[in-house]
Amino acid sequence: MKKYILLMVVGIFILTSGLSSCNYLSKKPDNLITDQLIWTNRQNLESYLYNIYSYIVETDGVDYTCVGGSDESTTSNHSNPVYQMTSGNWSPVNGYFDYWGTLYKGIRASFIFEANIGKASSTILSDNLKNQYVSESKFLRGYFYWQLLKQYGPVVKLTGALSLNDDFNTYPRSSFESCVAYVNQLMDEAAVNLPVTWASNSNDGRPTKGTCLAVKAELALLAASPLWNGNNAFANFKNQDGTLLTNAAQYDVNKWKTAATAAKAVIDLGAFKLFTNLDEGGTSFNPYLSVRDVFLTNWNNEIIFTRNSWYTYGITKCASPAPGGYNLYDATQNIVDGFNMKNGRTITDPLSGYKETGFAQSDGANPWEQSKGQYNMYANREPRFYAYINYNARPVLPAPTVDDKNYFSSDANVDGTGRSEYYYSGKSGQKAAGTGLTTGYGILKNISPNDNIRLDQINVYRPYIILRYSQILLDYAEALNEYDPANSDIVKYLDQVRVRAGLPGIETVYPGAVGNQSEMRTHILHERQVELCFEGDRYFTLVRRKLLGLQANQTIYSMNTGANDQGQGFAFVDFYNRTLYQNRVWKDKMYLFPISQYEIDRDRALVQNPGW
Amino acid sequence: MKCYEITLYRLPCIKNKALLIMKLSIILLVATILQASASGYAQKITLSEKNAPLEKVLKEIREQSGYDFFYNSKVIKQANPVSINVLNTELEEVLKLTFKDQPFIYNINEKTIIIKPKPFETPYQSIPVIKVSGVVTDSKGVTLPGASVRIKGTGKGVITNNEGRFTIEADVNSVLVVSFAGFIAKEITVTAATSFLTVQLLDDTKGINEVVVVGYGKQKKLTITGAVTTVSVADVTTPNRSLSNALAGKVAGVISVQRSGEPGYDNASFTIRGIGTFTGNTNPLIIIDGVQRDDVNSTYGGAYNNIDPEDIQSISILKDASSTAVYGAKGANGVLIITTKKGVAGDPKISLKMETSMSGLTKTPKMLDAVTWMQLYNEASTNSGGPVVYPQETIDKTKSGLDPYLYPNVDWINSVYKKWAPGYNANLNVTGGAKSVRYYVSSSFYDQDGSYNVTKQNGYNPNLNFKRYDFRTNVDIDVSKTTLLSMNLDAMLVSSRYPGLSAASIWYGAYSTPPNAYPIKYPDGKWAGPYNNGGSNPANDVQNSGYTTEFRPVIQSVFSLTQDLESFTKGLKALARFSFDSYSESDNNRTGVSDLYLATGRDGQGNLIFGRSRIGQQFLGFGSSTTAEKTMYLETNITYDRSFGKSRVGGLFLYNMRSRIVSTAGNVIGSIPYNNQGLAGRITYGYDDKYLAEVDAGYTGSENFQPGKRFGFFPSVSAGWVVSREDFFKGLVKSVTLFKIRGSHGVVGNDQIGVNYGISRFPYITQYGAGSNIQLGYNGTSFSSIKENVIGVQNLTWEKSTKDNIGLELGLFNKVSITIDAFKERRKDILVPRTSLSGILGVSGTIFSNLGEMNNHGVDANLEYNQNFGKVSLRVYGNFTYNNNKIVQQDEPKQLYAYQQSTGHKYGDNLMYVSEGLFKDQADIDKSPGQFGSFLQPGDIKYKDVNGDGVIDSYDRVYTGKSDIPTILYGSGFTVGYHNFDFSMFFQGTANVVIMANGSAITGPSGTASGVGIVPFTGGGAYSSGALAIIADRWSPGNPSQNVAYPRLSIANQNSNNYQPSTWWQKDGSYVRLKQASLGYKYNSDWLQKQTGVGSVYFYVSGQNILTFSKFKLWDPELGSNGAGYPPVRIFALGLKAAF
Repeated sequence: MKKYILLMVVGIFILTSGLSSCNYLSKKPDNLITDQLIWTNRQNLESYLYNIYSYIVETDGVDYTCVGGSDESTTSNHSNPVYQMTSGNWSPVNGYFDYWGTLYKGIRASFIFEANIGKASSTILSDNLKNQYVSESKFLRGYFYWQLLKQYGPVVKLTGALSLNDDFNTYPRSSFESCVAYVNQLMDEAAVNLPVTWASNSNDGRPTKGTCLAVKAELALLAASPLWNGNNAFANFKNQDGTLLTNAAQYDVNKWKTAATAAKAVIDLGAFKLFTNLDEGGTSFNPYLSVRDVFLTNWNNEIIFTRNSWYTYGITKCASPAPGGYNLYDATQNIVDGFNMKNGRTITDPLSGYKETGFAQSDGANPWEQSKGQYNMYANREPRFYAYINYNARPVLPAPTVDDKNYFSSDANVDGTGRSEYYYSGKSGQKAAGTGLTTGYGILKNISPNDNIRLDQINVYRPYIILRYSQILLDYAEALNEYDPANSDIVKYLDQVRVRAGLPGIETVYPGAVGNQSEMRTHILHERQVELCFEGDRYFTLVRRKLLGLQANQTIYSMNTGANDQGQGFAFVDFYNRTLYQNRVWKDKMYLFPISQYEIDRDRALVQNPGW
Repeated sequence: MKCYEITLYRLPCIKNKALLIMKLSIILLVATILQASASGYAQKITLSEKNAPLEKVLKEIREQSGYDFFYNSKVIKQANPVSINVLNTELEEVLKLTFKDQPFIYNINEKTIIIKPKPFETPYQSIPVIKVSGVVTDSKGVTLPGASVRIKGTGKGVITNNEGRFTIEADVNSVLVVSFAGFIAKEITVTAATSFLTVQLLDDTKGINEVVVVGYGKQKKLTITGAVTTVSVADVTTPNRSLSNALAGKVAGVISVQRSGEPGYDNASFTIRGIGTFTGNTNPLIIIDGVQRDDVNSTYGGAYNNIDPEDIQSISILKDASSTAVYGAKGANGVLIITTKKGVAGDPKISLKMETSMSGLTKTPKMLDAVTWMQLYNEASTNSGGPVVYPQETIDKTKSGLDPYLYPNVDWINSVYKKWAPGYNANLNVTGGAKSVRYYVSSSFYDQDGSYNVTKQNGYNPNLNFKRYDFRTNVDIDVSKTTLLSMNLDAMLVSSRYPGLSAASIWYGAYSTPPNAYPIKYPDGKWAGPYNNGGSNPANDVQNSGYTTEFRPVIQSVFSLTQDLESFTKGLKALARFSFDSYSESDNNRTGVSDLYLATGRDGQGNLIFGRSRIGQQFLGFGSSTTAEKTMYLETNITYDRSFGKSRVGGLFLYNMRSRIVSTAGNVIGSIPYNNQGLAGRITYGYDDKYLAEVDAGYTGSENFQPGKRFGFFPSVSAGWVVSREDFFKGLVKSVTLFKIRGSHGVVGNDQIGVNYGISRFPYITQYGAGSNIQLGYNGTSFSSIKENVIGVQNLTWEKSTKDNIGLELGLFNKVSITIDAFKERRKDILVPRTSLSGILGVSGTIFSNLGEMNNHGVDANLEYNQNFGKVSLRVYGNFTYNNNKIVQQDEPKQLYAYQQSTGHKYGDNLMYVSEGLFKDQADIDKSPGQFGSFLQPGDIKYKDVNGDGVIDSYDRVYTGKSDIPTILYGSGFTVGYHNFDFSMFFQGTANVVIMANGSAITGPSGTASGVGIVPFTGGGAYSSGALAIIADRWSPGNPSQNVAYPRLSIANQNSNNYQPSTWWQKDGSYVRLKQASLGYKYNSDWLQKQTGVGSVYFYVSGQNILTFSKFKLWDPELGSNGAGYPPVRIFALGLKAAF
């Protein structure tokens, strides 16, 4: 009986201990950030601002604009979506490089930020900083719209954060021109509370007044270019209610004037200058170091806007030759042919002195030029060629020591120079590297000789440049040439870019082009191709000028990398035969990206881009 | 106590420590038993025994009186069973009663009682008396201990021993009556020739007394009104480690799919009655020994698979609302209840099972050899406008095989995987106890090697090895006459080793590496491999990448106290149950890369010229990780069960709470305990076991929802009618022994919502989390960012499932039993992430809403047939499961074309193009709508222009109504017994299931191409993969046939025209497999019994996954669309079972 009572007591105890815990389920997270905490804590609030920044699309080495979208480059990874796009396997459901959602996330975050920053008292955050942060937020929103406009054309222009319960089918696209105006307005508003230059370099990476002006200049150039100015293909680009989404069908020369004025405003601000090696302590001007190190020198004065993240396994690893690199991103023969001779002439110019065959009999006059025994195609080219292109037999750049260099050489070629072996049986060739269709050219832009790809030591921080001053100079020259071809500024600013690259002025090499609008246009665009190669500009320049569809820009050539050299190595002459690499598929609808079907299904007011 | 010497098979495998633990636990247990029986002596005896062995009675008397007995143990075996019922009676009187019918006399000498045989009395008549021995079994041949064997018309009888054996002396022409509860008694006439009898008792299929485990209790099978199926434990006792695999096809209502055979990760995913929700958890609730033991959010989900079937008493599957309503918001996906064995009072009864096995992969894909690979590569390259990459010279040299180092030809899959791997398993269990203490202790050991073709050559063995040690102790103690204390303790250790790379990576490597890439090794022992990331050498990967070890200790405990409250009112009982479980996993990684070399040619002397293509690490790296969690559970309940005349009333009222804490959670949300609390109730009413009714309800709360929305009420009603017990049925009852119909209707819930979307907790709170870091400042200082991860939505709740079930149970001629159930389910309030929200909204987090609805319906049935033909016994059984679901509502925007609306289709049905065959010629292409790029050529797949707009685009994709989850699963088998032999086979199959064979499910590590092996010559970088041999069966200008496996070859990838998801690649994935077969022989011998105490030894050979029949030939169809995975294994085992 004792036991019995004991058990009853235990039982009752267990029962009651269970039932008494009424708050058993009230275990919700109590130390989580709430809406309130975001806006009343400076660190959280700033973290939310950084969240807006995080929607800036990183293009370094992974984007269609840099690799494979235009004729300057391709990827040996044929599963890469960009290869699919250029093979015509592209529809609104593929979602290739579809940044629409990402950019609208950034746009929403900027609205939320601006609507709530007022909740922070001025003791937590000074009014000056509040104003600065709002300006940054507005700039970023404008920047996101600019990116949308470049990629998709007219977009849905929002002026505040949408509610979850909104009927999204009531949000049509706004006209291209009104979107442009909206971005301009945001840039103007943002510029008010942003400095010309940041007093402390801890702010490097945030936009400045000049950044706002530069975005306006870029957008104005886009709006003035043939895609949006005098493009009959957009004559019926209408919303469902029949309103036109652009007046692009009417050509208006004044758009060029607007573009030129906008670019000139950046120049006149005086905040930027072209970088030369003298800025990094050089004693005499060296064009090769100047064009190379503009990308390698942190926060130099040519930089206008950057994306600041840095990947160890970024472009250096991907574009460098095997076995240290991945052979993944290749320069094409097309861009190689674009580089001038060092006398400033194009290789198609009979006076240029360009030779297509044979081996160079002597080293070049400058230390950066060809070595004896390299192919004649690569001899006596302009400094930018040597700064941006790696070619067969040229020593691997990010390999600092003799040991590192020898790592890239076959046994027969070990001489401490580490010449890249792009031929079939070479160490970077298709057979040994296990890579298939390469072009025989690597990309050197943005790659530092202080890195070591053999040991994966690619840790030198530098920002990835999105906008730089030389682009603005070329914008200005291009726009000016379209409405005032006689203006002397054209030659003046074009020459600034050429001279920094170690080339003679355009008026001395091609005097006939001065004042000749169409010839000058060719030279300016050619200059752009070379100066801004692998920076994402070539794709958008060809798009806005409606040139990407030209057969010449869709037929891609490489060296003959697939031909078995039977162990001949560098002496294998057949390697140097131009070989068709890819006949790309082009349809004019591709001048704009399709809006993803996913988005169209969710906003029936959206009209698809023409042709898709 | 007798002492048994047991030599464990493969003893060295059990480490000393394990042995020590085993010994310790036995000592502890014995100590407990001794203590429990050391109660005070008394001269007055209280005893109640029915047909008990004399020895047992004497033992009892000894314990109560303190008197010792002295007798010859051989002689005492001749004793008759004793029935005695005394209360506080003097010892002498008790002895008198005890020895009333015994052939013994006794003397009391101080405190010792000496027993001797009665002096021999010469029989008056010389009727021959013969000694009859025999064994009593059920219809399946399972021996029945405790069965009664009486001589008709006399009081003389014996009870079968632990092995179901008996010996009795009987007159010739007397009649033996053999009976056992739940079975039909049998009468056998003794003849002069009778010596050994095998008596098989048939089940009393009326099943009056068969008891089935149901939610929070037990019910008589006959009176159950819900859909509850039990599984024969013998059927799931296989050499397979994982219980969920053993269940496939064994039970109606379970859909089981095994996607990997990798030991330790080979659990089948299974659902009860298919899939009822498309975003929530679909796993059934797993209850072991009354406690929830599996949690979908847990890293340790599926741990129940490690229970040794030898330790299982019963398995029940609860399928409908009536049987699951008591589980409230956890019951919607059905419930699997496993009960482990309990102790049976008596002398220690020892069972030993030892098994050794060989396992191999069911099917390895056949890949192209190097010569064909190169020829086809050239064809594909030229088809794509490219060059001839492999000159004839290279192909010829490869074909000649003269220089396999420069011109290799490697079958990578066969280099990585070997044919057979050994395995062992053993189980030793002991049950017994005194009247007031009963125990079941068991130890089991399981050891399985993986199928990697590796050796211990680097000082470590990289081969997969899975070991499991499991000690289980179930003790029941009658603390008082009315109080039962039960304690179940299970300590388990899973200790396994895996290669340095994951099974998936190794398979990917074996698929993706072309046969001509490089040899496995060079003659001087250098391993071959590519420079940088242009692929891998899978043979090297598995041999030289180190290894990972995993330790997973598990403690599971249940302590329960049952108090009979009969003194309060008859039929009332109370129970309190407390349980704690602890799980953890500690992994050590010793992984690294090795040196690789690549030969690029031969020098003048003909020596290979090498380059070192990868510099390996000098030592293996080291890493470790640990996860752990605990679960606490408390339950109290009151049950009532009583008959009033013909009426029988039952009731249950229950309170429980459960808390699961992850001690190694990675974030705040994860560290908050997962708490549940609930009440449940049940009322049953039966009239004459004929008219049955039941009401069940659960009231369950979960911490996951906002205050005020935490508790939900889930009721159900059900009723049954046993027609065969009606008077008007009397005429039929001989042929139709059971005819019962039943039906149920009710609501159950599922609070494990949104698991498919990662964030399933607290969706009512807006949750912020870290966004991407950004860098600012001169040196790129990193700043963290904050973004919304979940946008809180008010009033969210759990899924509710309304279920209807009707069932029919039929018994025919006492030989056939049939159960058929049909069900309908409508799941509402399925939590879906809002997908109709436009991208312009720009929210960064997930937004949930209870907007989903899904219908599910189906049929499940089983059939069993038992028959004896003389010495041959036969059992045939089969079951069938069908279910199909349909998404009724979800937050889906209206599609442009109605046929692309996913709503209205089944879960897992995907959009794809409709293949119209291959383009015949250029004219065919020209007159067809444009599609996928402009490189179309004859031999490419031609798609149907479904919307007729003249172009093939995404709008031309349709739903096909099929998915890779089968909707039909069936199993069927038989067992034949003859003398001491038995032979059984079991087939299992699926139907209405498809495999998408375009390679889209074959994905490798990031940066590598999907579809390797299937999509010819695809690869990461420009590195071309190996290819299935089937690729040779292709369209080509020389073979312009439509009846080919592959379209025109090209250097293709997943996105190319020919490899788009289309009906061309949608293959029938149904299969029938000989899942099990076994042949056994049972050896009985008195001699053996006398010499060793072993009652019987059963030897058997058995096989698992022996044969597979399927239209799908490329890989094991159960793998589904991902052929590059560790297939299910085929096991052949040799074993013995002995009982002492």
